[in-house]
Amino acid sequence: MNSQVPILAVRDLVKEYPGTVALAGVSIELRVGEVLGLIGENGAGKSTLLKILTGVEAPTSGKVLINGEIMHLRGVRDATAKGIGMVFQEQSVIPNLTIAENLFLGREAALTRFGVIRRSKRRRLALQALEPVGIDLDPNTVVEDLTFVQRQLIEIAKVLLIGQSSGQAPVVLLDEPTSVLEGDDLERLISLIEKLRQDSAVVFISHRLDEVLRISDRVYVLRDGEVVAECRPEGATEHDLHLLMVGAEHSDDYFGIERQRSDFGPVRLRVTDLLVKGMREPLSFELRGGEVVAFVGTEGSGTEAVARGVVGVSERSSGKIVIDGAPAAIRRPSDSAKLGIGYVPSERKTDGALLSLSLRENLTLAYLDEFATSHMVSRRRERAATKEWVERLSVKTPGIDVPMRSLSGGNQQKVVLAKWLLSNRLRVLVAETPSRGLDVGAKADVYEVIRDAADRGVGVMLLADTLEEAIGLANRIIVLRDGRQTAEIEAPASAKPVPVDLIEWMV
Amino acid sequence: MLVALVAGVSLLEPSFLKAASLRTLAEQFPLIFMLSMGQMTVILLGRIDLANAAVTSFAAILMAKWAPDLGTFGIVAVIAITSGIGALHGWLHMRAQVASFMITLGGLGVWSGLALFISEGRSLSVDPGVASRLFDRTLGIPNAAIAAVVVAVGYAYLLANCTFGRRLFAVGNGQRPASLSGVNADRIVLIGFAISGFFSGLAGTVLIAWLEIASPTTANSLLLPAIAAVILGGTAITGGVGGVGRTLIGTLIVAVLRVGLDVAGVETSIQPVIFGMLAIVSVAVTIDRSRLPVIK
Repeated sequence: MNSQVPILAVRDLVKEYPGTVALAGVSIELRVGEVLGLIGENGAGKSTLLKILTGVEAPTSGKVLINGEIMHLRGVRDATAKGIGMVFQEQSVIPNLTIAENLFLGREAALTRFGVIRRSKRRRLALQALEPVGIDLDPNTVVEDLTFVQRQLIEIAKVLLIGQSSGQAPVVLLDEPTSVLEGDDLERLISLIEKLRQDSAVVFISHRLDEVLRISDRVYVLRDGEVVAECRPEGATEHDLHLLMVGAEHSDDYFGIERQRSDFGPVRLRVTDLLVKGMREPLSFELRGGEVVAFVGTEGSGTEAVARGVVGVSERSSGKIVIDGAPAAIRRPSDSAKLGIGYVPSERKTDGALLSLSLRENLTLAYLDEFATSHMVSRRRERAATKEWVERLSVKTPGIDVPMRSLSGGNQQKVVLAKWLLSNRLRVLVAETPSRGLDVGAKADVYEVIRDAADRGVGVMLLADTLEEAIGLANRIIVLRDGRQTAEIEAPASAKPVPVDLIEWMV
Repeated sequence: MLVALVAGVSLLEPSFLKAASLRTLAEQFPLIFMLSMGQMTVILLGRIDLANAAVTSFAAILMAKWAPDLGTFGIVAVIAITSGIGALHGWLHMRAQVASFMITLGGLGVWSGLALFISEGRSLSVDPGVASRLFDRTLGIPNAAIAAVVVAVGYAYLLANCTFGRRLFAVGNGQRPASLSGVNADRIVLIGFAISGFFSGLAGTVLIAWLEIASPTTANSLLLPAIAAVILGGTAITGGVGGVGRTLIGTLIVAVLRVGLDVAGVETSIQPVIFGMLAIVSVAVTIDRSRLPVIK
């Protein structure tokens, strides 16, 4: 547009992790004055790309060029010094410091005289820095007291400020900046992005396709680590983008809707007046054997709170849980496991799998007693069961005693699921985003495992990764907003709702 | 490393290989080994027990007080008490959610203080009764050393095969994923500390049998050597990695070093300096920093 040489370019970027390819040769260009939309499903490679651009990870191969020069970025600080600043989804401002302190954090040297910070100078510079983002606030306000959007604007101001010192037009990476914004706040951010465009380049990453279309000059669509499309928003619709993101595989029976049950067993889980931190109103629901119930809502709507309240990870302030007709006393996850409630946490790497232990040890941990006679574990029984489940779920692994970390994400997740499925005691499966970060094939495998569980008469409580997934897998969808249930929508195989039907209750 | 150390010490001080030093080694070893096995259990959980040597001193004093009246039963009762003390540390640590080093540092003060109080600050002579047989010799080796190895083999088998051992390693590797897999981490940690207390009690028994005297502070200087033994053996301070075999080797290294230092004529008063540095260096060299977000 404006200049010939792109301010930021990546060429043939490849990033491999053990067992998976996160980026398989991505090339992208960005010029000053441009707003670039970057979209893709979870696991498509967006976050890996961002990590490389901010110097958090080094690419396996490929180049990052700034103003035509090859760069080897060595961390967030290095990247910002070279003009690439990122505004994180989970904000990086420090709440107990003031705005001014946050803005100059780590760079106080520029403000000192004889080693003492000159508050007046800091205040003056802070006011200057706040001007472009349009905040009219005292720089001595403590960040804790600000609204979410105000904090976000301060992050942007901070990125711009650091960018100035690089002596070139800044590149601002905005990761899901609008995901929790509505109404006026959203408009404010969008107009700021319009303003930023005048003398910088912006990368806008979002799940909200309507905003991507509205704000961006160009959109790159990532899928499975590759750029599958580069398009201009003119003439494109949300539907087009969505199809590009999910690929053609989804159009057939990706979620196994054909296998969805319509005949259910008796009520397996009855939750009455559940109230957990993060919820505003008590929630009651039932889950029958063979039924899949999805909970959907935006970040912070309380879906995770519900799941964690049921399995005993979070403390309940009220609520009765009845399993197969018997009242259950659940204070911690070990109680719920004993009662036959399996839990698949959303953070597979930190919460789901024990990466240093072997596949076998991971698989048998939850119901270890079933492999033991008077507290002594039988290796033989463990091996037999591990082999059986590795085969049943087609886990790709060189052996059953390899450390869990050597498996790819999808195979790890299968083991996490199998540790619950292997027991006949399993009655309810609480699965938080079980397909997150997996490639398309592995996702389909996970969906199949969920269908198998339902066929066995297990009741499945699902926190889906995407709305499509919720709709595709669930018999029934409970929608939450701000910690309250706003809708309960039936999703029989013959009459699936569409995302819009859910979104109206979500926002 | 162990072989190199033995060779090194023998080279510098040929008298080391003489029967007298080897006998001292065999006598020193069981005491440190009991302490380091207890410490290892807690370190495998990613915790630390700074009180375990103080509890050993406390146990020795109690045994000295009770042995005349209660005999063997007194010893068993004291081991039960020290196991209870360990369990109390574990319970407080989990219940109050206070770091284990803080709880057991407090415990260090409490139990060594109580030991001083009960003994009125004096060393007590003990008639170890049955326990005296621990330092009878079979084929020239003190029974205590043989007993220690038997206990170690049994404990190694249990850790590797019983459900508790498996859950202990799981909690040490990742408490959150282990808990979310249905492991009751609070209980595992509590039992881990109770085992540390149990081994402190055994160490107390070894101590009185060996010295036939109980001083309220004798065992206290063994805290650092026992920790150094665990880490040198190759048990990770971050938890989840290690085992009895490694601790056995670590203990032998420390015991050889102690005897070697004595043989070489290094003053006893300077030895804690060496074990302090050894503990720091062995952690610094072996710690897996990728598993910790921040080191503090």
